[in-house]
Amino acid sequence: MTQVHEAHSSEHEQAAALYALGLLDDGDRWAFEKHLAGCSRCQQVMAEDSETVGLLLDDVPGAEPPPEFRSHLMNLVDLPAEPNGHRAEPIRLTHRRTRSFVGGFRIKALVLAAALMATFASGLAAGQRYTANQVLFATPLQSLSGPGSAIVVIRASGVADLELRGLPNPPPGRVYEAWTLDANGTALMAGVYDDGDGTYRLDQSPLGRTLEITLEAAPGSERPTSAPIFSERVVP
Amino acid sequence: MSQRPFDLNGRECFEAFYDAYHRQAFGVAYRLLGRSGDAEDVVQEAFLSAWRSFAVHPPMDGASGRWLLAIVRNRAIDVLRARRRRPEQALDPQVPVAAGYDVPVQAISHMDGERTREALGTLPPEQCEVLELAFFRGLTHVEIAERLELPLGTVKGRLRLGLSRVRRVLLDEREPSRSA
Repeated sequence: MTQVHEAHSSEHEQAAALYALGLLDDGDRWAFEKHLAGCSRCQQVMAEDSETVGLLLDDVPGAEPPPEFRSHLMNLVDLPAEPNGHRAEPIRLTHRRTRSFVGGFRIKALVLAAALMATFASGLAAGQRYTANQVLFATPLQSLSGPGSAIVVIRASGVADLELRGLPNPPPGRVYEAWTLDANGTALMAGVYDDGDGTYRLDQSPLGRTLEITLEAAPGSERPTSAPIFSERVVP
Repeated sequence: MSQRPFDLNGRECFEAFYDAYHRQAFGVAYRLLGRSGDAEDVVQEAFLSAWRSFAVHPPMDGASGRWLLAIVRNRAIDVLRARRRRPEQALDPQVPVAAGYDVPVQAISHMDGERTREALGTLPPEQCEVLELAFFRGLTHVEIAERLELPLGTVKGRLRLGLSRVRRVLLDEREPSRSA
């Protein structure tokens, strides 16, 4: 897949501020990230704006939660694993519903992206120099069956790319599907591909998770239904 | 806020991380949400997220505190937006913006941080106004434009300029030699 990057404009710099402030909706955010990947000026502006947001947060006066809050939190941290190896679901004090199945993914991706942004900005504040498109690290996925290679690339901007090389195109009516799995084995869809050769932006960050690729019925499944073709835990 | 590195691969270290940052995290959540219960929910979620995430992906040295605050703010904004989707709890029950209401002055008075107050005080009122609505109220640029009856481009431009100017002031305060 070839990406064509738009020329830098003042509108992109305005978008960088909105991005750092967390104001862009999903569509605008992904469009800006696409531009960001190829625009060094916007990478610099976005990093500075993210740092500014951090400076403003740093300056908010602290406040003390109720005395029992600490012990309650530590009790949640200590919840024992269940016999099947799954950790009991922590008690959620917030009763929010995400907009949809996909919406939940977006929120998790936003949180992870924001975390990387904060890390990125802290690095800048400490005098380290990054560009948003800079590769933080790359992890080859272990091939479990079949030819080809798959590599996940984590960039300083927080986005992650999946590079597929030399995989046969999926048979008619089938697609490749990428998944991220948490420690409990819960799979979240990260992308659907009908080509075995290309570089694709993952829909959510696989950081700290296991990334798997399976072959699924088109147009894609909500859950993995076949054995993984590639699998690897994505950690630095 | 000082930035300290933490090894969060242990319960004791997590407790130390909590002890170092819980006041700041709760302050940010309460600042945005204005309700203690909602702030507790958000801070709890953020710390649990930190506990789970740092165990497998420790942040770079010194970045963990800002990481946490970014998560707290994002989740608090989620809550603010959920509130706005409920018609019975309109935009902000505490701070109505009536015609002629001086939002910038009110914004500054609500931001108790001294450096932030000073930095915002250097902004033209119209930039201060949109930045406050975006940063502490979690309003999108579209919502701000509707609320203030301004063109979308004007709001974007004011946010861009306001954020840049605040940055310069905050950094100059940290490093006075920058402006010398």
